[in-house]
Amino acid sequence: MSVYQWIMYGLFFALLGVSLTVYIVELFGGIPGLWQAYNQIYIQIALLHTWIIMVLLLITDLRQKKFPLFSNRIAVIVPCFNEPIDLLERSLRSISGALGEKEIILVDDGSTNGTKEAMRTLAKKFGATFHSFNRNRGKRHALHIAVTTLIKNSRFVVMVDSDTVLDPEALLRLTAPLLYDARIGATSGDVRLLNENDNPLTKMIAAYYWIALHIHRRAQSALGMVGCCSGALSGHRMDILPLVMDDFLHQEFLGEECNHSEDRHLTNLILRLGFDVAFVPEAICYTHTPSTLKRFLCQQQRWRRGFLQESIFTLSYAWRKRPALFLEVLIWDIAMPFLSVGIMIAMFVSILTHPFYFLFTLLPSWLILLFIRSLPLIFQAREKFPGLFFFMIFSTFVLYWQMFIALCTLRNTKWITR
Amino acid sequence: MKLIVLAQWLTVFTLLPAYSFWILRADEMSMERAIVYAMEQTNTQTFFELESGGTSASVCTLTEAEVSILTDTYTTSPEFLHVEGQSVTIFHFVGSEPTMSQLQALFADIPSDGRICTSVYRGPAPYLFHVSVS
Repeated sequence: MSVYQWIMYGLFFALLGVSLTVYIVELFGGIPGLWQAYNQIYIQIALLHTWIIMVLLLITDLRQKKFPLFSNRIAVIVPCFNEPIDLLERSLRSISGALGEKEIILVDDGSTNGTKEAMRTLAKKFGATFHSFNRNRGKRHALHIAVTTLIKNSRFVVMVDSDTVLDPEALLRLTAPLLYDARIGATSGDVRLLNENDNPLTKMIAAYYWIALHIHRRAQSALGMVGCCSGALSGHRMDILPLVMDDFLHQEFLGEECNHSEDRHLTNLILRLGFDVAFVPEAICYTHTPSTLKRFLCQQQRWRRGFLQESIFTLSYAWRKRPALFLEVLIWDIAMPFLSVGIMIAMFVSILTHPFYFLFTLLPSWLILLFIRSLPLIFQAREKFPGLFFFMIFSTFVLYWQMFIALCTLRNTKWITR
Repeated sequence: MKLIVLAQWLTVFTLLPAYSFWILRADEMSMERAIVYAMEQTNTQTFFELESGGTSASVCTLTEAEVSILTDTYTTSPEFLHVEGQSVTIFHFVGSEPTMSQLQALFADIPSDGRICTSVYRGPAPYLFHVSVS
């Protein structure tokens, strides 16, 4: 696996090299037609991807499945590290009050803020099973011990972040597809923000989440291939989880033990087994997002590293079992961002050399495409539209470039935001 | 299906094909419009400048000598110059566009009388050419 990972890691740089070479060749006279063809192919792939996303979303709307609610025992795992006790209490209260027969498992991942006893008290208050590590071992260890030794008798497992508040129907909605459709191995819920209205940044992040979940993840769900069940709220079948928990715990990347992006890796392992993964928009939870730019960028940096690591992992199995997922990850998630770096640099150069052309042709053209891709938000969550506009700009000017920092620091295992 | 969702899909599947058509054909069409505009403005000998993205064109008159040089170049590079009678236009570059150095060489040959400078810029987007005329 490690050799494969190194080869794929090298591939990222090769793609970058191709893009930069084409741009540099163009700067020094160029090969007739190459730059134009390169740009055209990029635009056509972006358009094709937009068409596919929209058709999949339309199919989802036309074939909406509503599963009846049921009563089956659900284990709710809440891993916790240095969480302020008031946030944890709010989270546990919402879980305790949520519909459904459940057992709550609270795992303290070696918190260092002196809240262990308070957690124990909270666990007792809400009837939760409590386990505590002596030192911080990572979220994977917390989930692993909960699944392998702490769950007593539950058919389904729901993982919830310790700062997340559940909608009363969230547990039943999230697990209903797992009961009624045997092909589905995991589900992901709708993650909304508790602090959406804190400032313009959090409003922008709310739009970002909405698009990621209600457009991209929902489109993936039409093919049963959601790439990541959010750590904030994900549902699993208890008969499947033990099959993947050891691989989940011992994942390594380029010789380093992985300790983040556990949500996407767990999803990958379930997809690799051949099960579908679905997005359930009716299962709603509310969570916190970083409300300062620095913390948000740190979080995004970590997510991007995980994104690259897990994209490599996805390719290793999806070419046989999930051809559509394979093509999406290979072309849209990997090739397009890296092959477009020359085009993006050229676009930024044009700000200096041809500012009017940039302002009145290039930028509007790019924003119109992003706008069309985001049209469902304008119809279904129009209060998020200002945030969407800032997100489109921010994404182009900042988040896109974080990918390359992530690439250069891919072996960094620090969590950063803690 | 809810009315709002229906409206959403009507909008999506109106805008998306329109945008697809526009983005794939926009530069070609604007270039064609620029050429037509230049041709309409032509009396005998003209040269037009394509603005950024080929969205507009302005016209200036060339001397006989300049036309002659351009015509000579045209005979060796028919793909990017078009001469019809006494009119000279930069031709449709799509699919057979010249390199920047070719363009620079072309305009460098024109006797400089202060009206035509030799800088040619080819931008990052498809079919973007900028020929400066002073």
